Amino acid sequence: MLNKVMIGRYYPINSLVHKMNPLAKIICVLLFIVMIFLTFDIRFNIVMSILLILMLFNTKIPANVYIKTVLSIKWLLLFVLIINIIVGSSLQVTIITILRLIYIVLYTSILTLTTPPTEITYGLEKLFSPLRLIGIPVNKMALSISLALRFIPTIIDQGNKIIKSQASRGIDYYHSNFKGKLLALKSLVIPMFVLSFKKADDLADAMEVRLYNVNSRRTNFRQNKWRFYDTFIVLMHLGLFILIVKEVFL
Amino acid sequence: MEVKFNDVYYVYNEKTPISKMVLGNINTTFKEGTISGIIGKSGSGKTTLIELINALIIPTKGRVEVGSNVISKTRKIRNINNLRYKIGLVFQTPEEQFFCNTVKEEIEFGMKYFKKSVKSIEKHVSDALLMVGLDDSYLNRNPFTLSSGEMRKVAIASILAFNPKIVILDEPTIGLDNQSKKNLIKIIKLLKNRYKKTVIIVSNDTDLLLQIADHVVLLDKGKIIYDNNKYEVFKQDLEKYGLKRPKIIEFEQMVLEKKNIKIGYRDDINDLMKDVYRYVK
Repeated sequence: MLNKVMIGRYYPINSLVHKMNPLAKIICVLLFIVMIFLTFDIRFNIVMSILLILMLFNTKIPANVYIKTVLSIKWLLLFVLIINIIVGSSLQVTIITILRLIYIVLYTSILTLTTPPTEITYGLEKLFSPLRLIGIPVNKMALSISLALRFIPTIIDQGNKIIKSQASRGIDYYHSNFKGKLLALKSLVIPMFVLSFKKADDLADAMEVRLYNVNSRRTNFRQNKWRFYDTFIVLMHLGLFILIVKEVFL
Repeated sequence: MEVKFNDVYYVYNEKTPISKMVLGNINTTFKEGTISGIIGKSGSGKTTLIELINALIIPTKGRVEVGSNVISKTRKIRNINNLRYKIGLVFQTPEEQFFCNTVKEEIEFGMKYFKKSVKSIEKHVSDALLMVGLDDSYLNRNPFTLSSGEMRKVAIASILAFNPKIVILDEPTIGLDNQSKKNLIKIIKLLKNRYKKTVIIVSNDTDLLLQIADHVVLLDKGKIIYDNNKYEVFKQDLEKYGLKRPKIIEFEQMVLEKKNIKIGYRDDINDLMKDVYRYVK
């Protein structure tokens, strides 16, 4: 059941976007999201679509993965459409609003599909490292984010296991009525909580016996070098961003 | 009820770059009223095999027949819960499935809300507890405060309570002390002899399986290597599959090799010791 969740899964193949520096990817995502909310101009939207399609094409991930990702927010899109109709906005605005949501989901899924969670944390740590100068504990934040990300697949597996063991006891997750479904949900949620707390305790103990120190400097498993195409792609995004800002504000 | 595997394949994460064939070309039968053992080192697909029986996962190719029900990709099972009530599956880690405040609620939960036809649930619950060797004082205890051995017993009781025709135990002896192990063996034998149930045990404890099983399946890398009478399987060289032979068989083979005396096969180590003692005297 939980295998169908596509958002936030890493897709392990080899491509240009997979090889990019995570910091570059995060900067691109941020720029893209800001850009897309700045303008309703149709020319810029076409340019951004081309940019997005180029990026999607370079990931070499099959299209059905992206289609699944977009389909997972179909209810949100429908809701936005209805709101737009009620408010009475023009056709162009409605289409662009819906496209914005789809683009954001697609672009962030490029980041999560091509970058393992630990690398995302590396990128975030590098991105926020200037904040260390004003005394914000960036490394502690990065640690807690990486731990949280690391446990998502574990918890999904755990959930699958619990569903299986409850189903084999005859608890019906699919065919029963509303009350039955609530009761079935109870049998999933409580063990999940209990086990998650237990796991967190175990992890804290394991880190403590290995004398883990948050503040010490540590190296990365992968050497994330900043290559030429990182600069190129970031500059491409930045150029478009500057153009849009100039057009909108000046 | 009989369980029959017909050329079953199971591929994990199909059509993705991380797809992995867990089981391939599985053909075997677990007969009614027998105890079958499934052995193999970790990662050989034992747990997947038993999940297929319960329709928790559907085979990628081939079909699994459980009594008159057929589990296959092409045919949809109409009443999956009917099937699951005929099969009791106890997982490796029982503490994962507890969520109620008392042992009693835990055992009766499945019956109370999802199987309306069971009458006198209370009696079923205390009978099931008695079968696994716990008394009624456990009924009002919190399942999270039990020891792991007791948790396993409660998990087994919650399966036995709805009287399944097939009982599947996944690594039942891990974390049990000697006394509980003996009790468990007694329960399993009782299930076979008195209630004529089909029992399937997944375990690496070859000594245990020699003692109780009738027929043993050895899995390695998702393929069946041996599928035969237990003596025939345990006589083979199990070292290369990451398992060890039962001590009794080891001893008998040693006597045969060094002294050239055939002493025959025994299931229980106590019988062997008695015979040897008699011989020495």
